[in-house]
Amino acid sequence: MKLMGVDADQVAQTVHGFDYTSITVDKLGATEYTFAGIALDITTSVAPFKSSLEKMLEECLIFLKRSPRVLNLLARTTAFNSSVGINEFHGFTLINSLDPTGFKNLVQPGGMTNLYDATLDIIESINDYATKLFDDEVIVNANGIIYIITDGDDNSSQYQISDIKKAIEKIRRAEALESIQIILVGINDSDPHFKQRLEDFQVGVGIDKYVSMGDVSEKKLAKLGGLISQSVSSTSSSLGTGNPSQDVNSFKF
Amino acid sequence: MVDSYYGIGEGHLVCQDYALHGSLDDMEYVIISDGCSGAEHSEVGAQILCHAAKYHIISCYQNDLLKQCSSEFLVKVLGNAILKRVDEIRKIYPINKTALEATLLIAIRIGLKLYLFIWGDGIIIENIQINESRIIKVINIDYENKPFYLVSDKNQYMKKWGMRYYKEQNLWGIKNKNSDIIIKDKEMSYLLPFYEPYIYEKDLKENDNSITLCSDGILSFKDENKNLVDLLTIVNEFITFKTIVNGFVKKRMFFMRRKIKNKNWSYYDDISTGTIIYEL
Repeated sequence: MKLMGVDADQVAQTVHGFDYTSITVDKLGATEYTFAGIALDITTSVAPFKSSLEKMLEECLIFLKRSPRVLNLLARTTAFNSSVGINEFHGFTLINSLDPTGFKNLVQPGGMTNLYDATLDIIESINDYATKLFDDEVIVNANGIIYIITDGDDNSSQYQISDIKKAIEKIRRAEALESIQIILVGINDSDPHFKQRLEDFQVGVGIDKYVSMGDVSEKKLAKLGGLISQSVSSTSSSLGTGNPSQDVNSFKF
Repeated sequence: MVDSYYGIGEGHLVCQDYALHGSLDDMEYVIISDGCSGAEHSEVGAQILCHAAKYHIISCYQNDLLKQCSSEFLVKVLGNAILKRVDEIRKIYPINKTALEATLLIAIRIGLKLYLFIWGDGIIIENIQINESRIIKVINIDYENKPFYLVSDKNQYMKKWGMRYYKEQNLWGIKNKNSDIIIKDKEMSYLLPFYEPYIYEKDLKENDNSITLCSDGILSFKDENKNLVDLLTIVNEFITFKTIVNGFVKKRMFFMRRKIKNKNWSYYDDISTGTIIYEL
């Protein structure tokens, strides 16, 4: 299978049955990695700014490729809606091998919001993959950072908040990951009711930070791409200290 | 595939071991060195010895000497060339000649040929795969007192000590696929002249899996009751690689250190080790 020009050599399944792909271990030359996961909402409501979302991912990747830690970054990007379920833009692969222009036309809006399933998928896939690499003695140290970007409240998931909460507790206890940070980004979340729902989601599952972007604009999404890349790179730099990156605390829109 | 590792022992303040590895066309090599604990700056000596050895191994390979000459001839050519180079380098620093009192263990694989050249003490581990079982051969080159290093002067030794011998202890173990331990099969010891480097040459066969070199730090492992851990048990930890990827020796050592820490085991001596996996 080829995703964004990269061969997805291995297919695996998480404990809740989510499929994810990854490159083979012989391509992993370093001993420590930062696992970065992005789960992007592609429901019908993002249609007006779909190209800005693609541009945000592209910008983010361009910046990450310039990171001094680029050889230590493994990323997986997914997109979710009820029509496609959870669609991998690319499985776990080295940032270095991804083509930033590969996101073009990947965002195909439609369906309803399966936010909980997508959140559980990205968390479990990182835990599962990192644990496998650790158990097989391919990596000796790792940390992770996850971004869940949504413009809607869940209305189409199979799994519940309690399932995600358990997965987060599990990943925090995982021996393979020194630290993990989970950030929820709300797009077009100016509506107080929706904002409250996202805040409830954050508290309910134990997400580290909720970043409210307010009304979306191309400029704000470009800024988000920059902030994500900066925090991923900084998370990787903090590997070995036992602490997560502090950069996400400065996210402001 | 080839990799190496070196690290400080729990009873040391400075790591006096060093290791490096590399490959070039159909050649792979591992070089390790253990600086004499009583010699000042032997950690520098160990590093100089490894890098000088690397330089001359590559040079011999590029000049086809490794393929054309006997191992007896090679050990002399390599030994003299390395000695000359390290003496020049240590004068530039400058550091005392005693800083070069360090072992030098070299493993070179060229195609289907394996050469080992060893000055001083250390451990050799051969891993042979037969069906689902592995035969592990361990050679422990053991000196009663100070080892005879590359830099050691034979005449001075003879004058001081007369004719001496060192012990070559051979252990064979068998490890079955589903077992975590190596069962000791037999043990033999030989006495060899004190002042000669150890030479080993082998035509590799399909069953040959890997060769590992270790400094004597592998003999310093103690269990939670402070008893020395059986050599075959530790050997098993050193060579049971779960995944053969870049840095596989370093990764194995990382996980082994974690495991022994959890078991309250300890090791006081520095460790240097390197493995060549043949992939024949």
